[in-house]
Amino acid sequence: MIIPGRLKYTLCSLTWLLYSLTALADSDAGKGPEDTEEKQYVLDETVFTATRTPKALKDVPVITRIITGYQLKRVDATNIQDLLTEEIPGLEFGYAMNQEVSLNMGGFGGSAVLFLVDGERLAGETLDNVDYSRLSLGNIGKIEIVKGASSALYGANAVGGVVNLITRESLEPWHVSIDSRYRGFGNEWRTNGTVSFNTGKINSSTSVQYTTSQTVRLTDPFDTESDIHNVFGGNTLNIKERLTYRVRDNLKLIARGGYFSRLSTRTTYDDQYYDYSAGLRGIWNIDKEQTLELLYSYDQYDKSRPVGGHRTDDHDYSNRQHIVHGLYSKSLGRHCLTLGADYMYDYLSSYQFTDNAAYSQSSFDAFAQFDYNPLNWLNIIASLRDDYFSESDNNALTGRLAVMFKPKSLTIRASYAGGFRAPTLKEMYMNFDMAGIMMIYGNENLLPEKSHNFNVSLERNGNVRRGGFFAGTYSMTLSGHYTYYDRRITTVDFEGDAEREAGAVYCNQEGVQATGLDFTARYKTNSGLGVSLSYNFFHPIGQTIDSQFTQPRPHSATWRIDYDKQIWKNYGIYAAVSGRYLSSVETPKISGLGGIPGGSAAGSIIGSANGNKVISEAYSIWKFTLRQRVWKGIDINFVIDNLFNYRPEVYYWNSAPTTGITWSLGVSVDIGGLIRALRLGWD
Amino acid sequence: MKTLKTIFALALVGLGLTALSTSCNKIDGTENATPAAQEVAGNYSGDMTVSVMGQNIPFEDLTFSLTAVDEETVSLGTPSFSYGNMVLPAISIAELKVTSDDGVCTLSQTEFSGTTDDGKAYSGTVAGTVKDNTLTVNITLNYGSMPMPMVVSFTGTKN
Repeated sequence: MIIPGRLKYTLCSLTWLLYSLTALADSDAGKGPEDTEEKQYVLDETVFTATRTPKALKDVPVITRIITGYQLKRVDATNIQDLLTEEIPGLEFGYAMNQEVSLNMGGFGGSAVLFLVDGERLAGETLDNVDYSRLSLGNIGKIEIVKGASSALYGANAVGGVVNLITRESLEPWHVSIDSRYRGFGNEWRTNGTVSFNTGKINSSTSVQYTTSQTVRLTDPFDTESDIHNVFGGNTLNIKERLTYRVRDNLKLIARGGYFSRLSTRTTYDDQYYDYSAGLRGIWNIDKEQTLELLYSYDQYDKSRPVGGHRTDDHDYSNRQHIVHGLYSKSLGRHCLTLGADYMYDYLSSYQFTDNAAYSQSSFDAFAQFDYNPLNWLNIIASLRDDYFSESDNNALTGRLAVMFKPKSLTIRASYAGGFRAPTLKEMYMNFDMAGIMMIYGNENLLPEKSHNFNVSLERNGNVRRGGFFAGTYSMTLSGHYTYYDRRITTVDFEGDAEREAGAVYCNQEGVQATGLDFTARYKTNSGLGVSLSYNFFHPIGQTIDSQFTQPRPHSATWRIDYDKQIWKNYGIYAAVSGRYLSSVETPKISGLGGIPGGSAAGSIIGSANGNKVISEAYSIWKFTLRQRVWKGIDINFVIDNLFNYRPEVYYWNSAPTTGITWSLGVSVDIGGLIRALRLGWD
Repeated sequence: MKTLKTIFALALVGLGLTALSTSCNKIDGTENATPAAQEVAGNYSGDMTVSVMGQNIPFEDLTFSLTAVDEETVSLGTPSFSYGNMVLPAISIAELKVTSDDGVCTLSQTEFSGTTDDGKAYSGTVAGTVKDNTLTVNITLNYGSMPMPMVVSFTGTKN
């Protein structure tokens, strides 16, 4: 592996550019007039995902993005898909076959991005993507995103990044809130309710979210160019409970449970999904320097297919994971040592196996991390992890080294991280007749995917004092990355043999390389005006990541101009114009299907390096948001999405699934806040 | 006399109704036009294209049939064909309204659904025209567990 010289040159040029951009600012970074709630909160916010230990965001040596509760409210997203699409450039959700949601993040598909809830994995997948509908945001306090490989801490799947949803823990004695939103697209209704109480010893939080929508036809029924014709409707129910019991000041137990169901209404059948989860976690602060955490969690994700209201047995799927996890950390003066180990029992029963068979495997891992802080302006973190997977008898050793310098008003981060993804039971044992069209076979001899990821970033924060109305604070981050992604697991044509007919088979492909740039800039005035811009550039080198579903766009951007003002004591507004841009991209098109004249087999369906290509056009989608804060705890939200009525000419898998301008109206009520305000009024 | 007047009045009414009748059935411009459904009924032979995910697969020399149910309604019969390892049986799409205007008979866009003899559910949308004894029909077909629709296009001449 050779880091392209072009990358080094580019980074040096950009360093100069970053300094030039901030040359006119008052370089009193971190100080100055009162910062906005958002800025202070973000930089000093404690994050966990990057190092599995609590560190302030500004002190984390690994590039981490945080989406705060304030930002969550602002976007008013239903689930993680809606949120990330608006907030993170270089991250795109499209559709895969069967029109399930498919993720692309910096060139990596859903199987290479690890989604966690409170640090815990999710069972189940469809076409290599977790069920993003499970990741509702009703009781989420913040989201931490680590881009780049993190397998040294999180193991398999953390090749392209980690997205960790952190549950909000309410500190109020009690809290009741309800919100409901209607959206014109698909006549979608979303209703959330949250109830929590806190006695000091016991803290409980219960949230329920229900969403229903109708199928939306995107294009003419006889359109032969488009890949997708409809956005299917259905309903989703998400129930979560989290109970914290403080045994003593230094010992707490956290129990959680969850139920999820989703019905996707299709044409000749429906798809039904269920999830049942539970966990018990103990956190023991042994003394001021040592912490021990033990966790057991269970997650079961099931799928089935009813036809005419009756369950069939031809699409039964059940993935069950038992996980036992231990984490120990010890402070050594300014430094910190972290040791961890995990055991996972993974069971999979699937219609994609012969006769709905079941397979299981055990995996073990152990990791160590040393957080070295010799100086105030220097932090080095080194991690090493070994994973073992019983079914494939594979061992994977991964490491990470991250360094952070803080010379004067600049923060420089650089890291190397290894990533890996073990072959799944599905990829090893599949023997699937896909809708009678062709066969797809697993491969027991698959090797784990491996990746090597290099990152460099520059960050500068500061404030502008002498700006009058425009006095405020700014934050800028510029980062570049290079990734070598080897032995990628994919499917290729299979001509058949004495025992099996032609179709497709899973195999390891040659490596792909990719470089990219991220630039983020935010400015917030003390008077409430804010501007933010995020840009992502992605460039594959040589052998490309070739898939008709997850083709990354070379350029993408998100932006927002907003104004937040408390006009009167009992009335405030937040108004924003935001948008996102995705550049055009060439996408491979299938060249046919197995057994069909002129076609090649399923490598064509799952991904093909030959055959036709189509251009997915560039587009931008704008959004207007108006949020009104009325009295105490009542929010009224009005959103116009796709403000300029963009509509694709052809709906490819990664086209925007929109029919034009749409609107939504929502109301949320903090019942506890209302009652407290009334009491104050009476008193 | 009174009876004669009544008969004469009824004859006038009958003539008036005939004169005011719409051109729906006046395909050939004659007063005794064939109902549209009967006009288009028959077997049509020609070529078909099946499009899935933007890829077009040709099929030659297939026969579709239109069967009159009443004066304004036909049923469309499709042939059996193979797609990959999948064999789609012949299906019948009933209750298609047919109208005629200026020599062109139009099969109104209609949504349909059903179940094959072996229990496979299907659904979709159909629309078409018949002009100069040539049937052109488009069908979007969702079949069984197939995750994507097939768009079937057929053009054939009447046998």
